[in-house]
Amino acid sequence: MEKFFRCVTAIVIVVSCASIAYADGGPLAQVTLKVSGLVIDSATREPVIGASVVLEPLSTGRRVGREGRFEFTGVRPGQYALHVRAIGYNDRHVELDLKGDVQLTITLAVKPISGEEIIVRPETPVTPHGITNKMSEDDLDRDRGQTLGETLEHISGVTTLQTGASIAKPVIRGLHSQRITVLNAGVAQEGQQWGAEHGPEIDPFAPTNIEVVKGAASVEYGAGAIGGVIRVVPRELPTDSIFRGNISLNAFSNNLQGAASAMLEGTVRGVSGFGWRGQISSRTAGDSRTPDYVLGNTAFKELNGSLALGYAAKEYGFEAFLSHFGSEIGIFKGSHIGSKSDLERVIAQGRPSVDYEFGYEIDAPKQSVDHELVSLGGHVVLSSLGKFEAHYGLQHNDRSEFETNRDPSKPDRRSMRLQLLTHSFDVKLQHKPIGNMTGSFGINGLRQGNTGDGYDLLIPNYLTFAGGIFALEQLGLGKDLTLKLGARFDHNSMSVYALPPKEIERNDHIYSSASGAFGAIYDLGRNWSINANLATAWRPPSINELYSNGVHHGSAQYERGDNTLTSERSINTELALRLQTPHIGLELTGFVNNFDGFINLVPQPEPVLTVGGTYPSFKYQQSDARFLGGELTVNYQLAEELSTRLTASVVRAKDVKRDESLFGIPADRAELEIEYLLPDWLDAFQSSSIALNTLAVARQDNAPAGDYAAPPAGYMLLNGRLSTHAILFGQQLNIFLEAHNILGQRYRDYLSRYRYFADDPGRNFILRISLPFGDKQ
Amino acid sequence: MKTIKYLVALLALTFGVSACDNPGDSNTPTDNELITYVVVTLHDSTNLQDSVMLTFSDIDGPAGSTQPVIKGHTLLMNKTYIGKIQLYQLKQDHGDSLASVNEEIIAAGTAHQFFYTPNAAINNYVHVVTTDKDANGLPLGLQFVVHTSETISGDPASGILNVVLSHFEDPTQKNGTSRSTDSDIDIDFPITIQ
Repeated sequence: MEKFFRCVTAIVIVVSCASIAYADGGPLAQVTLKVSGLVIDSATREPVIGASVVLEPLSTGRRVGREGRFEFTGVRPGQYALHVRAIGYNDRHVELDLKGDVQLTITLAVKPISGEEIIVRPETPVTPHGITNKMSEDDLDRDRGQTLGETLEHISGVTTLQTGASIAKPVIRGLHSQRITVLNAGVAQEGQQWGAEHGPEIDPFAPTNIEVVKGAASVEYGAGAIGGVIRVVPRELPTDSIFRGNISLNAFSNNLQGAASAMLEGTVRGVSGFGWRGQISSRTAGDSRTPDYVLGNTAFKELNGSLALGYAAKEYGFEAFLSHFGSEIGIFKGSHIGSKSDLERVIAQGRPSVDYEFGYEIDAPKQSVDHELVSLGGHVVLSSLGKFEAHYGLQHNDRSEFETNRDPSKPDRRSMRLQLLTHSFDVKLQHKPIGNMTGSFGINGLRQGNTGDGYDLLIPNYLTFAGGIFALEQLGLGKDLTLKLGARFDHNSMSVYALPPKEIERNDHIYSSASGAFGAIYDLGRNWSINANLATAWRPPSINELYSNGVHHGSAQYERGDNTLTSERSINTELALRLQTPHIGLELTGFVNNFDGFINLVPQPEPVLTVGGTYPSFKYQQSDARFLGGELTVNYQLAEELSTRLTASVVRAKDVKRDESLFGIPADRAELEIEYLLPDWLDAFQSSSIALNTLAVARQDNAPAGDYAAPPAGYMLLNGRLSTHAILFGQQLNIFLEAHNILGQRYRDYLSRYRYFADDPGRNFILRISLPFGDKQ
Repeated sequence: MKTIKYLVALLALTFGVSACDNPGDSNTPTDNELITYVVVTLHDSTNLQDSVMLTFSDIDGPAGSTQPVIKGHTLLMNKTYIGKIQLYQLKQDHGDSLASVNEEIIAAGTAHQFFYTPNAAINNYVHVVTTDKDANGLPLGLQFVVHTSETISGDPASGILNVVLSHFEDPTQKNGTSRSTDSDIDIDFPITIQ
């Protein structure tokens, strides 16, 4: 009875606060209006079920149900915009000057099967969650604060190479590191990506949109994009008079991590078209915990910030983007072994030999990474030619790694410091349509220098000059068929100042080659379409593949480069079949990626003898490899409030010459999510939803022989999520409560770098609150 | 105003980083604590002038072109040897001279322990007992005694004496009997008992 009374009191308090909040906003606040309407297909006039309607700048969203209707209530008069999106349709953007209740009929046009990106972006969904019916704003807010890799993991075909909670390298269709390009603010990220434990230097809180290109995309993005591209695009700057911001707070239960981020954006009074945005974020995390023990020294810290300035006029514009990424990451002490027999004993024990205590201290072994980016860009539209774009990027990456001293009372030793400085430029012309043909061509160039010091240098100093030229055209043939054609030529010259440090010996390497792509999209009718792509791409060997020479701690293997390696080339064929109806979104893709001269670490017959014992020896060698696989994404709207999503992916990779599976390929996996939209409650909690998610990962049965430990068993994880948009005291609050690994499952992922030493982290509850403030428009 | 400050700072940084971009410059060598030379000396307890040495040397480290060399030795049956181990590292900043690290190990004795383990082929005939202690009274192993006994057949037996220096980051992890999983050295010396 007392409980009931308390509950009623709580409700009364909340209701009164909400009403006071509404009543408190001056005379206008009492006028609340209704925005409602219908979303229909422009051709069939049928409702577009599952379309998302987001009312900006409130960032509240609605999903369109069976009837095709949506409704926002309690909206105050003012300037608004409606963003309407649905899979397979072009986005619509409707400006609203709200003075009274409005009823709209929004028509969506089916997306022309030719999109500018299709040749390099093979029917790939361009939102971070693949084909999805969820609100994009919600999606991004929901993952805000996760690492880039974790955010991308929801896409079928994308997995991560994980080193603890803070380092997650994206793996696209089994390929990662030097075979993936990460594009940040229009500039290809040039970080120190020489090891599996080197994560991409991207701020997880930055207000960005993220797109993934699966498969070779070298024509547009250069020789490195042999396995795919991840585009991190800062959101557009405001142009109309505005001042607003957002504060976001996150808390994670597993490693007692706290994270906060603040963003401010606005325009300058009197200077129309000029917009700016500043953002800062910070994270502090303690040690991660498995269900049974603490992973000692896996704490980390991050401090990031960015500043964007832009000016947009009708026919020209420019933007400047500056960002800093800084992190200090502890490496799990139990993974730092001194000899091969140490590793064998840890594996035999099945758990770390030391019971670590939870803490926030970051001791050696550790790494500290700073990455600064300056990106300057501009465009001008010339009526006679088309749109002319230019970009300059300057990046400085500073990575240090530390080891413990023989005498623990002495300070940690810096085993190496590498500094990478990169200048890059891109110039591109998007020409005016010539008949049915549209497209672009351009050039780009890069100068990159690396300097290192320390006694355990992973790579030698080098200086690279690279340049490329490309053309990409698209031709519409009739109503149903679109063809794409692209070609590119790259030249890369690198001077290496070889190890050891005292005898500087210069080696020059020159690589050049061409890339090409051909694609066709055919509309089969009845909502089905098919897309085929054929692309050939190449990449020069990377510096670590040419010059590595040392023991890799943690994997207990001796790795040697080979400076006679030549370029590797791939021929990638893929086929995608797509269905889009009001209730079902389906995408089935299959690919065959053949590599000529695939560069890979291959076990050598002669072991290497060191003071720490005998290590198996590996050398970077070239062979022929074949990657085969496919992905499936199905979205099914069971009812207006109930939707499900199924994703699955499979990759098989083989060294064809040696007839052996490749090491470190993600295991087969499937994920099923069910989401239920909760009814609005008291106008104070809107667009709430609850979701349950199961991830099933099989054992990797196609691993090569000779691994220290057999691939771990398959596992299943249960995750859940509750989200709501609350309006409390007149303030909007977006609240997300998430639970990872709810059942506290003990498991080890095949792609976790700690799988020899310890289990993956256990249960993790995550609370995120984001608080938008400032002008509505 | 803040914006301008930030811009100035970034500009300064740009020039700053450009200044350090000289890939052709030499790297500064630093102390890498890599042990390049290990000597185990065994003195016959009945005749201290009589000694044998087991050595490991890899003067330029694993990345260098010189191959490491391990030299074992023959021990006599039914003997007691008084043993000591000496570790050296290459001091690159001191004209490539060898420097003993024993003093360092003694100073950080509570964080280290040597383990001498004969393999199955000889473990019935070779017994090693450490004789020195760290500040907490736990075995250290820079000094030790080796007892050999007669083989069952009376024939010579060949095997391996494994020498490990365990590093304990947290001295509370050291219990005197268990190895850590962070070994500073891990060397197999071939041994023959006759």
